Amino acid sequence: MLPPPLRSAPPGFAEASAALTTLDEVLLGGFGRLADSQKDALRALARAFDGSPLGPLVTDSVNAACSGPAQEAAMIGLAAAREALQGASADALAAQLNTLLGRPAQDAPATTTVDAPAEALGLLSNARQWLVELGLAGLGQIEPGAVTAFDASLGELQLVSPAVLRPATLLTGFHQELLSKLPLAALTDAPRARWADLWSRSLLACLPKQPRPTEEPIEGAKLSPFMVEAQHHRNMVSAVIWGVLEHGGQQRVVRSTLSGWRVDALAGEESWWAVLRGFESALREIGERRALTVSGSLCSSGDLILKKTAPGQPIDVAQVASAAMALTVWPQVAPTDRHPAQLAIPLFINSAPTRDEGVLSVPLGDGLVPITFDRLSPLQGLDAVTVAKSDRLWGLARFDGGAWSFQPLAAQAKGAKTPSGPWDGIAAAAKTKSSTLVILNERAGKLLRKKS
Amino acid sequence: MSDSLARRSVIAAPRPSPKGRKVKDVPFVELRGKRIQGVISSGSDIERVYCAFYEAGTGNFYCSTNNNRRCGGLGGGGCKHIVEMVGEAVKVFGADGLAAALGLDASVTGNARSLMAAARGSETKEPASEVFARFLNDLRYTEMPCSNQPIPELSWFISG
Repeated sequence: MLPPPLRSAPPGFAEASAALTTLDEVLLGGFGRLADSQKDALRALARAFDGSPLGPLVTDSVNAACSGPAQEAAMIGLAAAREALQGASADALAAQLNTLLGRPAQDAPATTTVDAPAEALGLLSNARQWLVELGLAGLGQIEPGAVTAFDASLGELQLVSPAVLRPATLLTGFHQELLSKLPLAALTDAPRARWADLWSRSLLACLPKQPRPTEEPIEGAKLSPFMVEAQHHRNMVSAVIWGVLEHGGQQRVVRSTLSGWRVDALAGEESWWAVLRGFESALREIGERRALTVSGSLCSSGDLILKKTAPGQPIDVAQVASAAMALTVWPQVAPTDRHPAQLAIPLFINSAPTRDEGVLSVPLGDGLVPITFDRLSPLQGLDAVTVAKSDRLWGLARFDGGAWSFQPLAAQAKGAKTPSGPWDGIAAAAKTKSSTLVILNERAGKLLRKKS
Repeated sequence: MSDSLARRSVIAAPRPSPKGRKVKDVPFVELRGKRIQGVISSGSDIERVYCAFYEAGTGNFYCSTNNNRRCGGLGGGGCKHIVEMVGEAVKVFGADGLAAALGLDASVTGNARSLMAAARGSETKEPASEVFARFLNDLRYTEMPCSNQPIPELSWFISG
């Protein structure tokens, strides 16, 4: 059974979930033809926002959507309403977990507004237009042709500027997923909440002004990475690195993200080359479980942007993770990114998982949190058998589909000298060149230049 | 889709690593709609490639160079390039994955011969440009800059 603070949903969570389901059903069928019952549900949603800062925007958006086919502005308003509901849920869930772990609440990360570069504005507008068309048709009844129509524009958005990497990454994953799933046999075959998430986040991520955490430069700090999460879709791979940063006499937990675009043929552990080709030395040191001397900038969210790294001493990742659990400053989700899917709270469990009626769980507080293998990446270097036999686990507390779970990132079997995780795969990939990349680089050299 | 799955934000769909993939011979292969399409090396000239497709349902197919010169080996059963392309698609997506995507039975998606016997289509000329553009688009990923910035949006994905 879950430990007490997580056992029941936080106050307001059920109401927020019901409102989200309303919006998701509307999105599934499309804004192009709202049933009267859906209009009533949307009006009720607008009333729920009365008195909040978003109130007037949500009311205007609902009125526009109910009086004719919704346009871009109304869809942005409803996407913002949806994200506000997810954000409030995420805050309440994070507070529950902080109570359980005895971690003090931290101030919300400071942000600053960043303008998209002028050359990206038209492409972001094209992307929003594409999303508006999907919203009108309904996410459960998109025609494949409506997806391929966005190919060229998406290709340009990927190239235009690193400043729009976030929307470009998201749209690439969403576009790819739609292509692989369409046409749907039935409306209910759509992953309702997931596509509503991807659609809303995409629409808001394509707005020309984006709030971003503020940054401060740091130099010559010591980073001790204690675990790595592989995140990827078909064309992007990220190593999300969790570590302890020692800087100015203070210790805190930080998160660094190193990413690269992945050519389609790059698969399995060779996929690390998507990232290695840009960060070969830093990633190799992390794979060899070494500390790094780092310079770059530290965001108010606790994200560390690595600009320069130098190798340090080998570290014991169990010791570092264990010490990290006692620290009080942790990465936080930036205000406009707040969403239960963004909750990723690092945990180091210095004991064996328990098995009860076939469910493997980790002990936490006065209870058990079930282990999920749903998110296990082939790049993570881990399998269920290793996790079951381990007596030390590294991972993340996650919340999805209304339930808490523990996502394992590494495990050390009883008696094993070293933990199983992504480290060995990264270190092994870094030892040899990727033959796939060598072949395709040569093709790119001949064919891309010839074309232009 | 079950209601519990429909309520989830993250539904991972990792693609296992293909065994014995011949990237040099078939540098690009993908599924689009009911089609397997891809790019096959000519063997003699690195700047020349063949672009081919096979469409499930109709059984139609075509193969030409990127300059739209019809493949000389094309016949009623396709050509060696289409056979090679389908072979690589089986490695990448698996017979089951192909069956699901193409709406066919997995007993016919294990190789080109049984696949093409399942629906007898005909040679259907199409410009190579679409498949070739998809290939060039894919090749660009080898040259696009890496990033040290946070990408929270990738948290939604463990796929491909």
